[in-house]
Amino acid sequence: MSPRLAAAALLLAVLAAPLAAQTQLAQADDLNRLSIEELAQIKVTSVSKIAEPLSEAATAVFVITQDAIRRSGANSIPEVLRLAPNLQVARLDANNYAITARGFNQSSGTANKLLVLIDGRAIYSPLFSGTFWDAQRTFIDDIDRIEVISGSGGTLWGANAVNGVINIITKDSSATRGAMVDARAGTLDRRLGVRDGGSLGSHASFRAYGLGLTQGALERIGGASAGDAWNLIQGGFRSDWHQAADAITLQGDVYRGTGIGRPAVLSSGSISGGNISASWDRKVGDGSLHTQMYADNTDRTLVSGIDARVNQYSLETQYDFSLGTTQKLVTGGGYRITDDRFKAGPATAFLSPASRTLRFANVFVQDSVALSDELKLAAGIKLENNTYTGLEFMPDLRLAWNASPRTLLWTAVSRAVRTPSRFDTDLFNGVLFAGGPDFRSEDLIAYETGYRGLLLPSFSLSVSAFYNSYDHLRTVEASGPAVFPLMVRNNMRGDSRGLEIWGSFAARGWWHLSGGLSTLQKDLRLVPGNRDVFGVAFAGNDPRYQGQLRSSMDLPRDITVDVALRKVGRLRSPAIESYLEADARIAWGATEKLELSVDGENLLHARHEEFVNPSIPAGEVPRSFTLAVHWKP
Amino acid sequence: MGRLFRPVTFALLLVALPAYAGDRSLEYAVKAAFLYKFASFVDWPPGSFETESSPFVLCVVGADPFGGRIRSAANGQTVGSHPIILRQLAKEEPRSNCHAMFVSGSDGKSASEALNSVRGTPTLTVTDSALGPTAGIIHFVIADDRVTFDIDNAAAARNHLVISSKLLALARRVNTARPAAVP
Repeated sequence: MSPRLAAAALLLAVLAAPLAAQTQLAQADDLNRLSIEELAQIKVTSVSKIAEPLSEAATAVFVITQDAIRRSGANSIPEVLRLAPNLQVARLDANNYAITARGFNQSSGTANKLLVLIDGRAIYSPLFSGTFWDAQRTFIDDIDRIEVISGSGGTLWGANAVNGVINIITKDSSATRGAMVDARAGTLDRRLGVRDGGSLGSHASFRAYGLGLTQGALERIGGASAGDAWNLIQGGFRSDWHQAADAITLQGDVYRGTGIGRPAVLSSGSISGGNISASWDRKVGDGSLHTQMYADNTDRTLVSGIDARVNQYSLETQYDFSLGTTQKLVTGGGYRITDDRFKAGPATAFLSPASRTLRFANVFVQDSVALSDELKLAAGIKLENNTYTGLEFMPDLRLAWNASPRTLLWTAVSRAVRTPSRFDTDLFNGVLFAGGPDFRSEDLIAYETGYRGLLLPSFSLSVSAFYNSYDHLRTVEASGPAVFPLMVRNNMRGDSRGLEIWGSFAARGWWHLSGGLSTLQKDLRLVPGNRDVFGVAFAGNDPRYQGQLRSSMDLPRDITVDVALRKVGRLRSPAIESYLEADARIAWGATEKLELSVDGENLLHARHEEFVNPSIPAGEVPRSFTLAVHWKP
Repeated sequence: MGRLFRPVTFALLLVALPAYAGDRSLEYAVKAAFLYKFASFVDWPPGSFETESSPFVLCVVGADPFGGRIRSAANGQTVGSHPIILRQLAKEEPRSNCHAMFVSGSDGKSASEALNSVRGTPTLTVTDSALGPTAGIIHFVIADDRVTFDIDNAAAARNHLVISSKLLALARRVNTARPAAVP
């Protein structure tokens, strides 16, 4: 043996032992992070990796775990969503955000191509096909996980799941027993949340929560208050019952929020609402039947005099079963009614008709066929009928190849549509605006491909690439030579492409690093014959890239340290400079029941701007610090 | 050193990957994680713990199939406010005060003896079908390539334990036959 080889062998022996030990520790550590349901999903007889429950999904999906939420220190759902590398999150004012996947955050501060669900309840507004984030205050500690799917999901999720789907999933109430107090006070926000839960007999469990918060005002350039502070109180409950083959969940929330800023901010006002949802899961043979119904009411009153009220009612059912040994089928359908009433202010735009009932009915089927042990093909279609455009179809074809037990390669082609909203078709404003009587659905054909796997036992990686081809995108156009009134039409088309990369690396058993990068290139154009007045930039003001890097350390004496860096590329129209920001959190588990933490957010600048809505004075996000107490008495 | 380092790194990969991929290794790592997680879904009768902070005693009786994994799985974990401590016993010893007991079936006779010795005491007994047919309250089985378990809820009731419906729902099979009511 040459001296060099001997040295190599020696080094190998010295290094390999601790590495193997560390690998095993990391494995136990990773397993400990999983819920008991996830443990039950791990395939152990095939060579497996920890993320097994996700590995077979032939789509770009990022999962935000409760652990990651807690360690981020984020105290609202939009801030939590910054954890997903495949979402673009931009703060507009104290309590409104523009959030999208794969672009199209509109200058009006809304994204209309993203579907958001909380425990299966769609929370986007039929007024503008977007989400009012200020009304979504799920009790953060009760969230089990958030699944963020970038890419079209029309076949399973329906219209509006054009560029992505966010699934917020709360814990079963059997997992939230006992009292809990979460109090946070900071230079910007204050929040107090209380929850209690327990058993109801031997088969059922229950929890109830209440929270109150003050969202501090952002700042104007120069540091003056933007006057957009906000108060909100919310309460809710969830009860679960399990017996043999059946599981029933009943849950609901009520909330009320009020702007406490200067009334001159036209977007300020008050919101209130409530929802109730019941779901029933039943094992039928080797399949399962899921049925859910919910009712959701929201009311929004603005200083300008607008009062918009929306009621939604939905019933849906889904049946999963196997056909032979190689086929898995999912089929189902749903019916949803939205019923709104829009009262205009003295000089505001109005909807005509002021009240409207919209009906949506859908049926879908998806068949997943194992072509071989490694190759799986899924084909599906959803047919959805809506009040505006009648029947829409959303087909989807996905191929997944487990090239090795630790490697999944997938590719997909799908069609998705965004059906018209009330603001697309029925919005009038005197001589300025005359609705969109001819507005039809926007549509997309999406081509995607991706890789997901373990490059090393301690290093997981996901890469996805997409090419989206859009047609019939919304344009705002002159009605004739006099320009006004403007009308909404569909004279834009084009494509977008991009990459989404994220990974996580267990550097040590006690030290995890994760990072993500997404890029977006949009190439939109107006269709000949259009009379568009705003240009293609109006469709979305998106950064060409954004990236994030996170470090999570478990130190001795129950101290955890988390640091996150994020960089967002510049926006072009209206222009926002690119920015780099950092968050940091130090938490100390003082006792088993008490955790104290201090959290600094947006530490690198006194204030920075993330997005501009031309109709609202710009608000800048200031640096802030928060002290938090998490106590289980 | 640079020239040396590359083959070493490569060799390390070759060594580390199979170590990770060992089938039984993962199976028992998952079982170890289950073992301490079970406790969160079981209620022990009042008086099972002297104080709020007295330890939760997890015993492994007989041969240990986990090979240290159970120690890493339980390391730093708690059951409610009780820190977990691990005790390895050659066979069930009287007054060992185990709250939960994994009984390996390496010797069928000693396994049933161990189970019988804690019958009627508040002890969650766990067994593994891969090690023998003798079943405690929770019995690990492999189904559909995954680790799952059967629960003998009647045996749990005999040991004064209440198993949460969530855990029951996860089980492959639940024996709910209750012991005949005492008149």
